Amino acid sequence: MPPPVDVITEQIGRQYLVMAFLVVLGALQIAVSIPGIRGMMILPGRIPTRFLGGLLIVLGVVIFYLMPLWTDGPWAAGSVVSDSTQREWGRAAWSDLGAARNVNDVDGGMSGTDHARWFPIAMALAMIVSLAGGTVMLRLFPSSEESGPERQRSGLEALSTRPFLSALKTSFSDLRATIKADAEEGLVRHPHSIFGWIAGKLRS
Amino acid sequence: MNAFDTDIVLWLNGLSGNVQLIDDLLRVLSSDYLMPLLFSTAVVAVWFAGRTGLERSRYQVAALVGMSSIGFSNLAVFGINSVWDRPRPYVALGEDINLLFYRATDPSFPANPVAIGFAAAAALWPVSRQLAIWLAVGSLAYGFSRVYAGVFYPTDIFGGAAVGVLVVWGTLRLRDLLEPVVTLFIRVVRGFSLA
Repeated sequence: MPPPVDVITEQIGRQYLVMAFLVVLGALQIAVSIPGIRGMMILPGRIPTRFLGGLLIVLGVVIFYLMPLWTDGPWAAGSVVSDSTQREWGRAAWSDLGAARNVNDVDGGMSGTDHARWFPIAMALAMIVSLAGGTVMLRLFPSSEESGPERQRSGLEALSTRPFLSALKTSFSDLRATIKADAEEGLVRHPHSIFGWIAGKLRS
Repeated sequence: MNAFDTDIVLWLNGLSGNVQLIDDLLRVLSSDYLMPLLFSTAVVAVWFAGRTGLERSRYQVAALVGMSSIGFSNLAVFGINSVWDRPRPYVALGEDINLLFYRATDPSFPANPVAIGFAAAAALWPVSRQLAIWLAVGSLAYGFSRVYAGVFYPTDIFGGAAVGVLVVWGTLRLRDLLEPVVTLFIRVVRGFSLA
């Protein structure tokens, strides 16, 4: 007896979360290795980080599409046909893997809204792991540029040489010091935008 | 339905059922999970990939436009679907189609996943042509797999691509109208050391 559709959707959603987390983490690692943002790199060195990123992406996809082999779902061996309404509950056989994940959202697959719910969670988890991993790596292999003018950097640039919490302090105080001037300058530089136009009218 | 669409979908879908491995690979490619995830992930990753301050700002604006465009593409497709309910090939052509995918309940035109892929590609085109070309090729491969599977017509794919590109054009205009809010948003995120 298969569980209700919403339970199946939740289960597939959690499995999707694992894939999305690994894929986003991998892509983040490749991306931060390009400018060398060490506060987000979970390995020392750009090349190993990039290699790990590629590996995580492949791993995430492979795990997700192989998971029906060891997890019960609407893909019982022998019952997997294109039409997902006629399937039985159980584990898939190798020959079912191609179609196993193609489940309509009305039969327990994920809808667009489910994607929009799980993807940001995966993204947030991948960011947290990257920042935590980068912090550990910077403690184990401190940056040689960690003193002097480097300390004045803010934003992602600060994360190039310092761990997140340290970079956050300078970035946030920099934001507090400049946000008002930045906003005023922005309004002057964009007189034809909605906000620039309103600001212009208020001034005149 | 027109002869161009019918001929191509019947020819492509007629190739299915011969080599199990090809059918399975295209079933995976056409699934709801893989390609949309890769499109969204590429846009997110670009946020972090700039090498200099200036390049980073350009990349981050492109990533914001990309993320917004993906959302707006969904809305645009939903809007078009509500005025034109084009039946899927497996409905219109019945037994002539060897269906490799589930029976989707939404209309055929335009192809939503292709719209998303092209929105991502068009948004990233100004900052990374190489990545944009990869995304466009991925979207076309995704569309091809869905025509092969019997769930879209070729014109649904072209329509999806056009929707994606037009939505990015509109989002860029909207971005100009909303300045300096977009730049200030990035500035605030930078205050949290994430931009």
